[in-house]
Amino acid sequence: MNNIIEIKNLNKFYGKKQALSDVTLSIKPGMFGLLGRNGAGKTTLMRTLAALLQKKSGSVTICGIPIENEKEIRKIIGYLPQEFSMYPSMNVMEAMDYLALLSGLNKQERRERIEVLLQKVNLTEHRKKKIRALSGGMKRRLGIAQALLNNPKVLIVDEPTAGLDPEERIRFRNLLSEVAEERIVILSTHIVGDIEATCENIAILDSGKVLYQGTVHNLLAVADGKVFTKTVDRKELPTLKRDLMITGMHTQGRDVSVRFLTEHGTSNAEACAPNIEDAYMFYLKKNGAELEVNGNVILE
Amino acid sequence: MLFWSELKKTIAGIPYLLFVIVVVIALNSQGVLNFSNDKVIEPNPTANQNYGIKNEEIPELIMPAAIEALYAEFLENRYQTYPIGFVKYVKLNDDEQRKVAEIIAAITNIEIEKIYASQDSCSDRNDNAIVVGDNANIQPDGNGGFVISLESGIAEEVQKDLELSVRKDMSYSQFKELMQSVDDILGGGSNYAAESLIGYGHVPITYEEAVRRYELVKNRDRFTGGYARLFSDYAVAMTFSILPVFLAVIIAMKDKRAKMSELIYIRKISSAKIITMRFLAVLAAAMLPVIVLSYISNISIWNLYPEMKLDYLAPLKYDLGWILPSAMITAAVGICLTELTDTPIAVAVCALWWFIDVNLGMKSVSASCTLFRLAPRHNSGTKSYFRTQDYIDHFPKILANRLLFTGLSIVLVVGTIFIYEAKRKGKFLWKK
Repeated sequence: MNNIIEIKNLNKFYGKKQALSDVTLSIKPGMFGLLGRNGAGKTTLMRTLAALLQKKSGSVTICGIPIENEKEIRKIIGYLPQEFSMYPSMNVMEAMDYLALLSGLNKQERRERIEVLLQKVNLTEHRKKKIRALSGGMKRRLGIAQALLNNPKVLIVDEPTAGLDPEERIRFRNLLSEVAEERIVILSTHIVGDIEATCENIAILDSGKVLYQGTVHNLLAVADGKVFTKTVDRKELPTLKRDLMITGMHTQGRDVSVRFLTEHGTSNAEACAPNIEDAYMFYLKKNGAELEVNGNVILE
Repeated sequence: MLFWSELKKTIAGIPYLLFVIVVVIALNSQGVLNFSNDKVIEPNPTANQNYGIKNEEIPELIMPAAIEALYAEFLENRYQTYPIGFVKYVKLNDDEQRKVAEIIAAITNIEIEKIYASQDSCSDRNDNAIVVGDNANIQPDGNGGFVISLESGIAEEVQKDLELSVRKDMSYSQFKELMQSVDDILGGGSNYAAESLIGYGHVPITYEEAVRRYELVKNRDRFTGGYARLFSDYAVAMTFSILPVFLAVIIAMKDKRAKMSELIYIRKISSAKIITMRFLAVLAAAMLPVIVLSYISNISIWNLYPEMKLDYLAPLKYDLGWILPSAMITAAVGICLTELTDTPIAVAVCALWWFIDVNLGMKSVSASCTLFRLAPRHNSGTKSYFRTQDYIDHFPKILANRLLFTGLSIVLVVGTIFIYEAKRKGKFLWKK
């Protein structure tokens, strides 16, 4: 059994609408970021990998197991869905115990595993707390803990940081990085910062198609020399918005410091090192994605 | 272990508490939680005891009683029927009334004109009673008001004038055929249907029969069995043919409401195990209060029969043999339709099924235990615990019915397993 996820020419339709189009990816152990806008097909891909959706065509093998073999796939997969919740009237311990039971763990295994995991996600002291009383961040951490109950080879995490405050987000990212030391962790997000902080290998998905697969380093290289900053008077801003792809703005009195993307350079602008957000935007634009910038950064 | 977790999920919360309360109230309202005033008394030839009546197919009794009843209804043109269980009073048009009159004439040999003349006379008197009030009784009610009642027995008076009697050369089979024609004219469901005519054959129970009946109650039912049977009859009809569906729907929808479906779909556990455990948990939760109540009910008579051999397991036997199949089918329908549709539509389906079934049984609760009855009835009121012989006679029908529903429940549960597994794999997305 290898430790690779191989996706070849994967297609998925919802009725007549194509949600995934010839997706081909190879995912190795460690953190793998799946970046894309809302509606890009990330959740569909994640759910297909979790054997929760039927594909139309193509092939998917997870650690050598064909996706059609759901029984075996379920044994090696951990999944944190986008809309994560548990029975609100149960407490943390009861909910974990119930899911561990469904994961096929015996009594002793359940006790030991739950203890380790709650410690890992820093919820030990909240073990008796009802699910409904947990904060958003605690719930997400509990989500990771439940996804690790069966000690999966592959952990699929769908939009886990949406709605979290900065402190919780950082804590959550660190937790994911820790977990990824022993397995494949696929992190789907539209928040570029999450990818930047945790992933070395990524894929960009747009309209169901893979626009990019590779390292963060290579993605940044694509945008190298294409990112500039310039300080302009506020009055010039509408013109700039029309002509350039602005990825950041900082107002200082009447002046505005603008960060933008362009392939051809511009006068009075200073070139700067691209970040992953710039590179992502540049890549989307380069591949003909319809972007709605209008002076606002569409990504957090 | 999973069973206990599912059971805990089922019984934790207000819905289950409501379920228990409704079961208690429903059974208490029928007086089956305490039988301490319903002792089966040993027949004694020296005491002046009334042993009750029974129905027997004795043509000499049935034919005159049935024709009198038909004639009375003909005179008022108001026929009582139960076409689909609900009572319905049928009023016939002139042609149909004429056909009924012809049948009465054929059975009694009375000229049809006389029959019509007596009907006119009857309606005249009725008209007078209503318009003029000649036939009304006005009595003070003791509270400063009056009670007005119409004089009864108009039809009977007319009948006396007419001297109704069945033709001597009329055979019972001919009689049954003609009465069946009346039933057809009425649209079915009347007491004149060939199979219902036995209801007119009232015969007093003799001392010897009463002794035999008592011996059966004593030796076969060991007293407790009859009471357990009566309890089960009401438990099935009033609660367990409908209420378990609520528990099944609640547990089946719990994952969706808690947005936990995918967390469970992804687990290693097989669909067969999870659905079976949930089904068993619903059954256990549903049966728990009824088992307790059946014993509370049955214990109330244990001291009525000192020094007698009682069957202390009788409540449990009837709970499992009679009530459980009803709980199974309603729970199975609930769990299956909820998994299939992700909606609580099973509640509406079971409610409709129960409503129709219970009303279908209204005409004959005494022994309405045909194969497809959701709630088979075997009850003749407060003395039902006497009817051991009837129960023995009807046992094969009841057994077939209970086995059918048990089998059907298992089929539905197996179907639910397939549905659940398909959902886990992302099929049934047409619903979204």
